[in-house]
Amino acid sequence: MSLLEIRDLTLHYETAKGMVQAVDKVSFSLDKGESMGLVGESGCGKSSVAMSIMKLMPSNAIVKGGEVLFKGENILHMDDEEIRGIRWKQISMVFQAAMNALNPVVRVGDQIIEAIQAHDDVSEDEAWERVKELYRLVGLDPGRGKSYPHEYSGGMKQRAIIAMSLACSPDLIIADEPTTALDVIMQDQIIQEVVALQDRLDMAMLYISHDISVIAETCSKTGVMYAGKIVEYADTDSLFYETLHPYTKALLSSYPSIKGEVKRLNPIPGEPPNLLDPPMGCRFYPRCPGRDGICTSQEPEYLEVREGHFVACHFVKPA
Amino acid sequence: MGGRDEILVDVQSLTKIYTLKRNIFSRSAQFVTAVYDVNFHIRNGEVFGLVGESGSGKTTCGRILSKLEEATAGRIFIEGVDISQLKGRELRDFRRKVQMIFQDPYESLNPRRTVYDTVVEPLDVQAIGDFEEREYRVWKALKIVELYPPGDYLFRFPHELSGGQRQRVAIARALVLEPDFVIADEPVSMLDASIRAGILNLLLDLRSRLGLTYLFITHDVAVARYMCDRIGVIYKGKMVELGKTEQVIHDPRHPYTKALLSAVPIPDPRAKRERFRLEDREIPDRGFDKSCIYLPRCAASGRICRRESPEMVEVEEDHYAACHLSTEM
Repeated sequence: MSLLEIRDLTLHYETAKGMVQAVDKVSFSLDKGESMGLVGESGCGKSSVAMSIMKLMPSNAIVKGGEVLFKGENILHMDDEEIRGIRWKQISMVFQAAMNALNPVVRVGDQIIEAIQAHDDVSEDEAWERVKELYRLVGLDPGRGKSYPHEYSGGMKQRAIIAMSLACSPDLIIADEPTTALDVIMQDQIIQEVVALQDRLDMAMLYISHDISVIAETCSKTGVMYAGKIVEYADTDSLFYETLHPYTKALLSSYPSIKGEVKRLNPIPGEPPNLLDPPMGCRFYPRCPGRDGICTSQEPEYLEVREGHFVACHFVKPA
Repeated sequence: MGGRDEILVDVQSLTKIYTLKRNIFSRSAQFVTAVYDVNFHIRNGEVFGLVGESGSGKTTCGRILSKLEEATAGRIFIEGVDISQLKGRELRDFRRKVQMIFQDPYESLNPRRTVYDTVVEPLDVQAIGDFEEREYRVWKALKIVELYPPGDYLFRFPHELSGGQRQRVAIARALVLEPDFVIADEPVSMLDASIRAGILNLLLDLRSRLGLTYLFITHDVAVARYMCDRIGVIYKGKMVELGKTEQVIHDPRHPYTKALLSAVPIPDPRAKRERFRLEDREIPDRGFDKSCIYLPRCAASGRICRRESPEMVEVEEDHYAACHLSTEM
């Protein structure tokens, strides 16, 4: 049994303009100790997927179908009491601007203690010991637990947040753009830290990012999302070197790099579709260079075309 | 304008010091040195990049060059004319010839104005042409930024446009006055990769088609490499390295540039990166002139680095670094 298994998750948001079809039949699984990247551009539904794993969807979200199985139990059917036993203790999350969520008038260490004591019945002293241990783990000076958030730099705050997310030794950590607000040197240090911790603590990790270069360096498997769907999923090396879906190909050729030759970038023409009224058939066809009649009328199936390599495209078929 | 290779913009010892207001917590005024003794020039038709992290002073440089702010010290010459001395007609000409593109197209466009109103405004302000002439120029500007056919966009409001389209409108507004020099401050950092590539290509194409010169300000080294002929790396308000882009990327001489480049993620799972070591020492602040600004983070510093702030020296042809040890490393 996988640690996390998502099957055909479909999530809509009810808005004044109509139903936003944000997530459409998303499936993937994650084993113990495994790291997976979910990459896609703004509005593709990657954060919605993350939120449903924690059952933290906004109130206008409607689960249209599918299940989120954590250790075999469907999270979407859990009541508040049951989900509290999972959140933070077994699945924790690091958000994009989480560092700004620290309470400015409470010492950082005390905020972590609060999180620990909310889930585990431990004394103040034991909790402090754990904070010090966590600080060492994420590369912070344990003495800094007594400082206030304004005495920390952005990177230190994000480290403290990571420490907090590890406080109850979760089995799965969801990192949703954890470094997007940071400068590149700090980003690199935090990413190295996250990868090392994930490995050392043998946690599973779902890493969500818009940046394919960050995913390339952090995750062993990668899913590419476009307009609410996973269009390609494989181990990260195959995804980059044996790319099959036209959207993934286009995305990869739109990134500049400081390594290799300078090649002219290929923008993807047009814009992602409005998910209030997504196109019939394949959601990528309006921007796809290889589209044909069938793409406009029929939705491509999400198929395993090679071992462990899944693609949803009419023109990529199993060998 | 002059020919290619002629110097269009010449920045000499640019310094900007902000005075923070006194408040009940601090009796004496406090100063923040945003930019200190920065020198560079931009040749006609060149894309010059200023690269640095947040708070490095790169945006301040751009704002001073466009005269949105005044320098505290130092001089800026555009076509040989000191821009701090401009008055009247000359100042109006400057405002036509030098244009700026800002980072956030969600904030830089007035939400209550149509695309036409936004793009025609500079022509109104400069009192250029009659109604028909203006309409024609707006039409042309929209065509240039590939909002085609322009008629489809003229009467739309920003909320009816995507991020990429908004940034194209902002570029059209900058180009409608047919400027010579465009300052682009993080023009793509709010955009998704697939859209960003289109804007970068557009800016490069416009450079060759219209003979533009750019100051391109960015935190993203990979984007800077794609766009710029030469780059300057700026750290805490000081220029630490300057040279042809490929020289700086492949053979960085300043330890900060090395650290910055070694931290850039590579879109290739097989790429192996070697991290350049960084320190995080606490060194009492003794003011700008005493020690090297990079000392607290430098892994290779020697005694001279504590005593003197390094000057920019030429380490190879057209490649400068401000590091006492740059020739040894």
